[in-house]
Formats: sequence, C-alpha cells, structure tokens
Amino acid sequence: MKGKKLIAILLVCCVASFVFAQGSTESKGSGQLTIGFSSKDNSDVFVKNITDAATAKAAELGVKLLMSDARGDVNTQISDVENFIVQDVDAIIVIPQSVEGSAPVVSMCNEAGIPIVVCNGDIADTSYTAFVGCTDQESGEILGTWMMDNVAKGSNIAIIEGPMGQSGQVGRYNGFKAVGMLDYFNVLSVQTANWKRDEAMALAEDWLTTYGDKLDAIVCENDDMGMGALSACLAAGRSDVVVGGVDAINDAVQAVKAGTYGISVLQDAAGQGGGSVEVAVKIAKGEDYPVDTRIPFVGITAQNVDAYLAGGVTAITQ
Amino acid sequence: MNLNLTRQEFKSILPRFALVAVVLIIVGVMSFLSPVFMTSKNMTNIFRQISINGIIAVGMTFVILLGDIDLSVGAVVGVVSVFCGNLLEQGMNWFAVCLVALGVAVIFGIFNGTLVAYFNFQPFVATLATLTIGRGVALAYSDGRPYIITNPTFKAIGQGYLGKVPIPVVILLSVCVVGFVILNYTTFGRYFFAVGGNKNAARLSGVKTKRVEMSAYIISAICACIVGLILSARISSGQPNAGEGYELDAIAAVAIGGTSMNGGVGSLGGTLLGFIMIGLLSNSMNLLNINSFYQQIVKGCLIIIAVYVDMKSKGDKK
Repeated sequence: MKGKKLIAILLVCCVASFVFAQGSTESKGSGQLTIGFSSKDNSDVFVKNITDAATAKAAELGVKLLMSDARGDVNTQISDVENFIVQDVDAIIVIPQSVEGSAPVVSMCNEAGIPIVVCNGDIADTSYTAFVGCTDQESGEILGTWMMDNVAKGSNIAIIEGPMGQSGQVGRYNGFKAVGMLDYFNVLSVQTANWKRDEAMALAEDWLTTYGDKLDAIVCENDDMGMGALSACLAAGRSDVVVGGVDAINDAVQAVKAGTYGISVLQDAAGQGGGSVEVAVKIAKGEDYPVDTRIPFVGITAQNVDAYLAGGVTAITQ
Repeated sequence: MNLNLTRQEFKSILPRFALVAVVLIIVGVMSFLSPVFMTSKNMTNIFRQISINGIIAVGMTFVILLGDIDLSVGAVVGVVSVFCGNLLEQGMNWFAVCLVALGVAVIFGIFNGTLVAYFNFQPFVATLATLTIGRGVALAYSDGRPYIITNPTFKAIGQGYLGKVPIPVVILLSVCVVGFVILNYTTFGRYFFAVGGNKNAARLSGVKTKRVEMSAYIISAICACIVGLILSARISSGQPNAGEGYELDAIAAVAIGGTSMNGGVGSLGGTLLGFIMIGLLSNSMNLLNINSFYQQIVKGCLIIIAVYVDMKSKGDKK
C-alpha cells in the first residue's frame, strides 16, 4: 500500500540522518575533556572567526568541543546552554547574545556546578568563572581618536551602530563619547544596522541621498557594516567619504590596503576564541587560570597594514 | 461498505500515525546515540524549550483552520516583552503587568481581525503589516534598548517550577487543554471548522463568520502574549527583538501537524505532535553536535515530508 511505502521512506530518512551524525558522538567516556561552546550568531563573520579559532584550538589541545549557535536569539542561547548542562560537559564557553538577556546562563551553570567562561562580550551577571575578551570601550576610543586625527574638526559625520543594548554597541559608543568624538564633529545621524552589511548599505545610500556632499565620514561600530557603507559610497562615486570600523575582517583589511577604507580596529578574534578554550581547559583540569583576560585592540591603518598582512597580529602589537 | 469505512478511517489517521512513528523513532534512536537523552533533566529541557513555540502554534491553529494566517505573533511577543520590562522596572505589580500585556495583545488581535473580517484584507498582507507595525512599536517604545527584569515573582513565570514541572510547561499544557476543549467540545469551536471549510455555507446557515474570524486573531494574539510573558521572564529582560521569526516556527508546527493551509481540516492534536517533533529534532541535533546550519535544512525537509504524507492520504480519499 502507498501509505506503508511512505512510512517506510520516512523511517529510512530518519535513521539515515542519525547514522550520518553518529560519527561525532563516539568519544564520550574516554577521559577526554568535553567543552560546550554557545555562540551567539555564526552568520556574523567576526563571530565565526572566534568560533573557528576555538574549534582549531580545541583540536590542537585534544579536547572535544560541542558548538551550538543561537542564531541571534537569546532564548535559543539559553536552551543551548541547558543542553550542555544536561550533557554534563566539563566547562561551558558563552559568547553572550545580550548583556541582560543572556545573564541567566551564568546562574544556571553555577547551580549545575559547571565552570562558565564568558567570551568576547559583557554579561550582566558577573559571577562567571572567567572572562576572555576585550574592553569594547577601548575599540571605540581607538576608532574615535583616529577619526579626530584624520577628519577635520566640525565635519559632518554619521554613525552606524550595532544592535542596541549589545555590549559592542554600548561600549563602542561610550568610547566615542569618552574621547570627545561626538562633540568634535557635527553628528548628522546615528542609526543601527544590527551588525549587518546589507542594512548598513541601505542606510549609507539613504544618507548619501539625504545629505549629499555634506557627508564627510561614516563611523561604523563593526566592519561588516563598514563594508556595507563603503560599498554604498563607492557605488555613489563618493570615495572621499572616510569610512572606518572595528573587527579587522579580511575584506576590511584588504580595503585598508587598497586605500578605500580608513581604519579597521583589530579585535583579535583568534586570540579570544583560542584563549577562551585554553582557559576553559585549564579550569576543567583544575590548574591555575587567569580570571580576567583582556585581549588588546589595535588599529590597522595604511601605515601598518602591510606588516599585519605579512606577520599577523604579533607583527603590529609589538 | 464496512470495510471501506475502516479503510477510510485508516487513511485519515495515517498522517498522525506516521508522525507518532517518527517521534518514537527519534526517541528510540536518540536513546542509543546519546547517553543523556533519556534523562529526566533533558526531558524537562525539551518540554520547556517547546513551550514557547507550542503555545504560539496552538493559537496559530485556530487561525489556520479558517484558511487564514497570522504573521504578527512574533511582533506581539516583542511588544509584550518591552511593555512588561518597562512597567516592571517602574515597580508595577507583576499581575497588573500581565493584565496590561494581555490588553495590549488583544488590541493587536482586534486590529488584525478588523482588517481581515471587516475590511476584507488578505490575512497574509494584513498581518504582515501588523508585524511591521508591532516590531516598530516595540523598538520605538524601548528606544531599541532592553529593560532589566528583577521582579522574582514575574521571573518565576519563565524560570520557576510547580513541583518538578517547569511553569512554562504547566502553562503549555493548560493552553493545550483549553484549546482542545474549545475546538472540540463547544459549538463556538466547531464554527472554526465550518467557516474554514466553506465560509458562505457557514454564513448562510447562520454562523456569524466575521465574529469567528475576529476571535481567531484574538486567540492567536493572547497566545503570543502568554509567550511574551514567559520569554521575558525566562531571559529576565524586556527585549524589543524578542520573538523574531517565531511565527514561522509556529506555522511549521501546524503544517507538520496536518492542518490544511486552506482551512477546514486539522486538529490541535496534530499541532501538538508537530511542535513536539520540531523540538525533539532540534534538541537531538544539538545533543549530537550537528552544525546549526544543517539543522535548518533538516527542519525544512521535515516539513516537506510531513505535508506530502498528509496530502497523499487526503488525495487517496477522493
């Protein structure tokens, strides 16, 4: 009968999909450490760089890394961490999706007695085991200072922000404020593009239409958005608009080298991803570990881009 | 004659039977593949995780039974979340906050219902507009920033337990029972099948079809409101972006559960199986550490298979 055949097909599909997956679940119980990594959104290039570095470091150290991706949803992130707790992993690393919203994961881990390492962004509940990341405000200060050094005082600028309330947005904006960039320039508009390239592009296009030649610079809180704004400027034949951002993703560095992009403040993704795994492993093994690791930012500009491309992060931080 | 009837009956329960079979297979296979899958902690997790999608799907079933659709539920979740966050921050009593949230959600439901029933907007277009308006209201009201929720009683809605059962699961069960009774044991509930099956015939036989349509959107909005409360309590914050994309998960659950998008045919039992299956699958794939990108592919394939089985069984009946 047709119905039975269909059920049979269904069963085969189901079994097949799980057999495919089986390979990844064997090593439990062999004394190998297992670490759960809850990422906030792997479709974000910079976050992907962190998780890739974490995966590589885990392979190097011989620990098993379980990777989950909240796809930008706080609720999913909490569920992901719940799943790790049930699996009784040896340590959990979290890149918080939201400073406030992700906070419950810290108490959940503490209650379950599993060490929690917070990576990259701030979280409201600071009773975590360790932190590996950077001070977001510092990147805003570096970007703001460079803009003030390279764009005339009183120029018209626009600012593209990350998702409101995320630690990157809050910290970087505070950085702009702290170095006085907001008073130094005439700020035409401040809008969020949610770290997204396409949203930033649309925003920049609209600004170029609205403000025309008045617009002198666009300050972006990350490079994905910076690349979007830059594409819009170049498409409109406005290569004179100074654009800068944070993260030092590949195409941003290439654009700095090409001279179209002013500055990309390097947030060391590999340092944070690898570093958080190192710390988590130390905690799980009961060794001494640093409670607060801050990976410094550094601006990549026309002056040091060649050194960076040739020698990596260490070539420009020393 | 007798044989025909049983055969027809078999055909009509076939899709449901296939769903139960698939659920059992996943459970069976998973208990072999993952040592933690069958633990009570993981089961608690699964049910807490599906309660969000489940409650919305229950409301969505009423709308889809009419052949309509409600895309605005995710936005209603966001609006409810920021209202709760703000009012709780100002120290309002948690119960009063819930009532205000309910009121706000009902307004959205009435808005949808009015556009569809009285102004003859297509449901897809009307609720798409409401979705956009709702998300805008949430962002404008909160200025894009999240609120922090500290009220312990309110937080219990998302994080507390009744005995050993998480409160969200208790709420989910209550919503399912209430929905089931309304739909199957009241005249009002049977009107949904009548109107969805043939609107004109229903109207000619004295059913107030506009009122039925209106109430479907209000029910859907109330369910979204309940989810907004649970979600905000669970993440301890009022987030304007809360609930983004939840409408699609709910529609997926209803579709997998065998409710026809053309209306008139379907059941809450099917929807229940639909969201259990989605939740089970996503928990399983997380435990097996399957990349989140592939998880989405699997979910999409599942919808196609489920709906195909459903169509086949109904096609044969003719």
